[in-house]
Amino acid sequence: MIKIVKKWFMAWNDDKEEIFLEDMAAKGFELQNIGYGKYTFKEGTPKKIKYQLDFKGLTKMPEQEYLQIYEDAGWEYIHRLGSWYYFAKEYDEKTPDISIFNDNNSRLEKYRRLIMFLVITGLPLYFNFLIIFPSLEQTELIFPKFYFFFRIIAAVLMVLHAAAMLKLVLKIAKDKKNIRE
Amino acid sequence: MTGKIFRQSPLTEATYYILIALTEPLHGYGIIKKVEDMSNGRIRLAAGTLYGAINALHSNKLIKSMGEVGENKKRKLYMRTELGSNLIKFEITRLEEMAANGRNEMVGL
Repeated sequence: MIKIVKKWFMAWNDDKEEIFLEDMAAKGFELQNIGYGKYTFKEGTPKKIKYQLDFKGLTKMPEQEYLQIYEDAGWEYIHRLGSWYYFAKEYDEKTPDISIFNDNNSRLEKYRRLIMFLVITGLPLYFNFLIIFPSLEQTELIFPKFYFFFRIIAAVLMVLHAAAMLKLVLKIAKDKKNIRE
Repeated sequence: MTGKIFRQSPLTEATYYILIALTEPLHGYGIIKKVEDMSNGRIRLAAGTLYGAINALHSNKLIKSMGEVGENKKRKLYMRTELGSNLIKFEITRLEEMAANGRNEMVGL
């Protein structure tokens, strides 16, 4: 039996995404595939599976070397959404808190890579809003013209982008209280 | 050169162990095994931590790439550079100072 769940994944909710997938596996639905906003599960016996999401980001390491490190550490590579990589590992009572990170520092490094990625991809978006749109003739912005639609799409993307940046910065700031390295 | 090294310190426990393990050329899995042995099983390097550390050490020229091994050459070998060794010497001095001061203050407790 195949079960399909439709939901969106927001970049700042990666920990909730991990718990969602773990809960599904505990109910007997094991993740098979992910499309944009569409999760495919296979129904079977309930399993204890830990899911971890890593953001690879703009680094020099080739993908195959990156995936090999995870495979060597016992993680199964499930799927990739952009630069987000989904890994899974079965666990038992003795090892309930397995993670892809040993310390806070490397866990936060993941969010720094994500922020760096967002800053670079966000530049064209902000460039449009601050430079292109104000310089356009008003007649270009009225209904069925291209820029009318384009500006709406760009506005939605910019709001999402700004929200992601803010949530991630807050996430990192909140962690400063943790004295564990 | 030395000034730059000070800025990398203190290393996290994981990064420190990765850097000292790389006296010989090793790939990711080799590093995990060696660090586990050296720490008597206390430290099991996690994949994401290892990935982040290799990236950071490599881009700071503290380790260098020594070619690929295995089927499809998927595993890359790394080894510590002279700069990396200088950083380790600096860290050892710092850690010894920390341990000695700790012992002095904890006498009789």
